[in-house]
Amino acid sequence: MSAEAAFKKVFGRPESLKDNYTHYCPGCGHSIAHRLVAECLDELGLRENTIGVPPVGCAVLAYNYFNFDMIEAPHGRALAVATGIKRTNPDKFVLTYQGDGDLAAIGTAETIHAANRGEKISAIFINNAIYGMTGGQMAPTTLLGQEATTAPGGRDAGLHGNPIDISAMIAVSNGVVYVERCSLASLKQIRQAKKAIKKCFQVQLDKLGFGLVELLSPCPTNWKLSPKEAWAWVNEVMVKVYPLGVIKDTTGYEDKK
Amino acid sequence: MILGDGLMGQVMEPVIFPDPIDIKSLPPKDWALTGCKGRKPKAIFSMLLDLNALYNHNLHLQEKYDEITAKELRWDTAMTEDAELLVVAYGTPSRIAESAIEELRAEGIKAGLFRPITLWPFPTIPLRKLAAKIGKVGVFEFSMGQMLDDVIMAVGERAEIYFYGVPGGIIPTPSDVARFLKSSIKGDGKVGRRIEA
Repeated sequence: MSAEAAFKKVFGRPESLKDNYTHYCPGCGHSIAHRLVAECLDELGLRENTIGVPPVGCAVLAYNYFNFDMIEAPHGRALAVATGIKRTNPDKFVLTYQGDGDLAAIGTAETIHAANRGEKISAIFINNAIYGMTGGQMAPTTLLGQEATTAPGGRDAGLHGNPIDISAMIAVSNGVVYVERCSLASLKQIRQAKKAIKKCFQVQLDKLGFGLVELLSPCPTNWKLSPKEAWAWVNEVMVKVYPLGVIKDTTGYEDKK
Repeated sequence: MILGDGLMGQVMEPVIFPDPIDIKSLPPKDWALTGCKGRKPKAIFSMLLDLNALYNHNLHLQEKYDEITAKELRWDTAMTEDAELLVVAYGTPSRIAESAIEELRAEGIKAGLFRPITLWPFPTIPLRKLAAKIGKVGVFEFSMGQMLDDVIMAVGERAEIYFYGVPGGIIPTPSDVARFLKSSIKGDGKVGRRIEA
């Protein structure tokens, strides 16, 4: 009996991921998020029809890892670029993959207006509450009391303002059909994140409107925590400010919670 | 990139749009993102982290800039043949300058106009030749001296350079500019100022 016949392959690299090593730090959520996005595209048979827009930030090199067409956008403008792609190529599957420094900071206006227009785009929003690539500066999403290189005593509401919950902000718009927040810091949540991403993609396939999945993502390097401690910080601290679950769902799908 | 100014920005005129083109009728582009069916994925990006690739890309860009400089240079001149002063102005100020030159010519004072149409690439050599022949240059622009630097680089000490810069707020009349041009021809420094290149 040959090896192929004796063993059944149960786990492998999704076709939507290239066979490359990533540059992400140990314990970073990006690698997991990449894989979830890739698995969902594979399972929905979308890879060859997809155009993705990565952020400026740690995932700016995502085109080295994702195995489908991608175009870089100016910082924060992924949803504006994606709007142009989707409107001129409505038959393509268009997704953005953006961090909080991209989607919820410099790109706030583009995010809110693309969502409000109900663009038929899927946004994957990686929230690690800090600027990762540039070295741990305070982001609009940084928690109160959280240390950052630009908030050495911790974020102070009076001085720095409050953490912004952009997922909840866009959810009030009629153009937004589906928003769910998951985390990448437990196996259960990672499985839930995949379900959410797949559902978000389905929203676009069904031409319902704008969909966004926010993923609370550990950044051990800039949080100055071990990967294990970073998971705990997401689960014990971050979720109190950014509660997990469905924020909006007007899809009418059967699995609606 | 087209540089407008406030005046042009506020002009409103009816326009006729050409019939829309069906993009599917255009020849296929080898760089276009169409989904990677039947081929390797493509990426469009501007960042090169590999140092050799970045170096070579910069050389490639420089070749492009050189080609643009050689092919896209545009300028216009008016009434320069017998001029004793060459007015350098672009955009809206060039229109005012032209009226000012006509006012002067009615009085028998001969000025001509050099109007850069492209500011980059800047028509350095054509301006240099004409300025050297005429001997006096009057720069008039709606700023406190942005094109002036280009004119100085082009003309150097080959001609006297006078400058009249008007910042946002007031739009000078042709008569205001005519006074600057007269003052420049006399070299009395009453309107505008002499620039030492």
